[in-house]
Amino acid sequence: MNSEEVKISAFQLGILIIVAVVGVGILTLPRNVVEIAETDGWILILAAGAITIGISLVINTLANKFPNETIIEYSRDLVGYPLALLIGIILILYYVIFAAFSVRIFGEVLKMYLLPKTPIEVINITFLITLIYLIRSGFEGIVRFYEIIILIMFIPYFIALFTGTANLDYSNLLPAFQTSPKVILIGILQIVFSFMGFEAIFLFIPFVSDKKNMKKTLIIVISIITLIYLISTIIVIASFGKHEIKILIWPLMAYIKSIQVPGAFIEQLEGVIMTIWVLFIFTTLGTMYFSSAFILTRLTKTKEHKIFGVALLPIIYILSLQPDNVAQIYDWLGAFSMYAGTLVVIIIPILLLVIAKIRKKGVKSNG
Amino acid sequence: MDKKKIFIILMFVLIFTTGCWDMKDIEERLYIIGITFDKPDEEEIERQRENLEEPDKFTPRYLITYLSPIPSAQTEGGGEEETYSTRSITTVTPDEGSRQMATRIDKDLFFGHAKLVLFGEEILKDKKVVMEMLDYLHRNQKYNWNVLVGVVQGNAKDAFSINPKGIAELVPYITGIMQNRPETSKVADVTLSQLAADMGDDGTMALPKVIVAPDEIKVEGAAVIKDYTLLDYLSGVEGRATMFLKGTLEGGSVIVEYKNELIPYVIVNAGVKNELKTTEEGLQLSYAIETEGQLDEGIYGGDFVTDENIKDIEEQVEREIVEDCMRVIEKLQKELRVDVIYADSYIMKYHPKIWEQIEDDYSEYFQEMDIRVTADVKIRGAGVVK
Repeated sequence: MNSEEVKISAFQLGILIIVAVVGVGILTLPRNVVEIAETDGWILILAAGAITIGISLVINTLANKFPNETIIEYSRDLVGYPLALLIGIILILYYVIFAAFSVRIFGEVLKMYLLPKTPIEVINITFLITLIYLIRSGFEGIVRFYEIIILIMFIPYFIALFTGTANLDYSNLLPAFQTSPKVILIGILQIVFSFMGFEAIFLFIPFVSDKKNMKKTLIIVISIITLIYLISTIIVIASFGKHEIKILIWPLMAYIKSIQVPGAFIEQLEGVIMTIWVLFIFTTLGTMYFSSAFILTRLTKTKEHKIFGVALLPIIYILSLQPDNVAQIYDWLGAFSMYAGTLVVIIIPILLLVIAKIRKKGVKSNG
Repeated sequence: MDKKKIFIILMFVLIFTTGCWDMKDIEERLYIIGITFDKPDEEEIERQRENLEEPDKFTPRYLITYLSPIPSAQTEGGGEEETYSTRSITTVTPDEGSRQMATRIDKDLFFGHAKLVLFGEEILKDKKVVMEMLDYLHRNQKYNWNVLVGVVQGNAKDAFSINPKGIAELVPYITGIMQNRPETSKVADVTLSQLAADMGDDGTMALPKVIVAPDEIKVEGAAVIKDYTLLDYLSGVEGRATMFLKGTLEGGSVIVEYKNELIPYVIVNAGVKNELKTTEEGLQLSYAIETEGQLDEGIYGGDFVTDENIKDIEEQVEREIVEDCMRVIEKLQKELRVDVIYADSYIMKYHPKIWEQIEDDYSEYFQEMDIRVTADVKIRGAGVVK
């Protein structure tokens, strides 16, 4: 894939970011925020969304300084070859491990709610093989696929979410503003990791044809994600109250399970939602998987990413089976997003921008 | 192979594998629609012990009864035939029960369509067992979280052995009564997810009370659970008062005596507003009940519907509601020492600073709290007879 050949619009990249970010995290998000800030959890989501917008603008500024290069190339220019190689390897590892976590959580949830007797190994491998098919269609194919699928994902999701709102007790969101600012500040970082996935713009901004719209798109897109998170979390807190949420592993699924459609013959909506949620994970994983294969092509200066896609499959598959149980997955994921997330999402972009400013590298731009 | 052939094969695969979820036909499943938990009889345990190799290790704590419909009897509509069957089992843990059933019947137990869970009186007296059941009902995704729950006065098992007149299906009959909330103010319906949300916090809640008679079921009043154990029952009137105080009432009536006649005030809607004050003597919590309703029965002949009469009846109803509420509050504060009228959640939500101070010894604060009740009744309609 070459940046001269493939062109997408800022709008298309925006869609990619939405479907890449909203994935496994949304199931546990209500619990995460309640554990940190009780009923003030929604403040955390707003704050984390704002911070994410800030970071994405930093990455955008960097990308505008090097209009036709991805992070792999311009980091070489900024910090030298060895360090640039290191950044590349860190990014690959980050995507591969993150993809492995996502596959595993996907398998666990699917096994719990939909396929109780299917071994998790089978769920994971079939899912990964399906992903390869997507990856092989190339960047443009992926983006077009996302464009079609985003409506299929979010319309049923919100319909299901809102059918349960009739019986909610919104006083469960009280008391408000009781958490100390210190707790909020410490907590924000953890919630920023729910937005992980947006850093794909490191790699894909060079392919955008209308770069001048990029800034606006990023702000709108991340606001939309924040809104999706906010609505889901508020509904789940209103449904269960802060005590119950803390004991549920996937509060969002529990909420959907408890929905009573007034006067309807439909019940147990979790089957429907699981089907849609498969798409959520499919798009998240597709982006991560493609990103890691894509970085490999850039590092090796080859043009063919398909072979790397296949080569990465056994690695992701084996890694995904490493945690022993659900508790360990979330322990490891917590630690991983804390360290790797901070490094990739916060330290690398800010550091690179500072170096670019100091060394006055790149094209001067309005961005 | 050309594309058409592949397409046709794929369509066949899609059509014939759809719905094949786990290779089990519908008649290989036993659909459980009702389930009860009881404490097993000592005699029954003794009888079973005789057949065992290691009788000392056999210490079942549950007597579980599963009710399942018999599909053939239902479709043929024979009024004489049994339309449901019940099976009981004594077991160590709740989940083990369904596995033990596998040694007695050839079918898989399927809980996805369960509608009703009833607890016997005795089994709710052991905290450990109650927590175990709560965990069982929520941990695995076997149950629909909209299952209704209730407490049976006596043995829960008996609720499944009654023979109500003109009723073909037992479980829909019981759940139907529980859901009669808009008609009567004496029943309440509690689902499994409400059970988790209310009980999960501190083990305190009120569950609907089910009374079993040989040919009918009555749902009235509430069973009060405190610290995961059954404490006492509230009567229908007391249950109505707690629902007035919680603001969850949807209908029903209050009967008052007026000019030597009994006049029912039919509740159309009811709400409650709380207010908390800190006085020198301690906390003062007020409940302002607001309700609108109508008179469907009066005194025939003469000028019954006059402004004066209506005002008088309103006052009478207000007095009745306040008296009922005060009586139940006194019972809750002095006798049962348990807060099932959401005073704690009100203080927690609207007065978090005060809640922080009293949280740890809330039970004592609740007993000492000065709770006041006022009622504002509005009669909006009185029929067409003067």
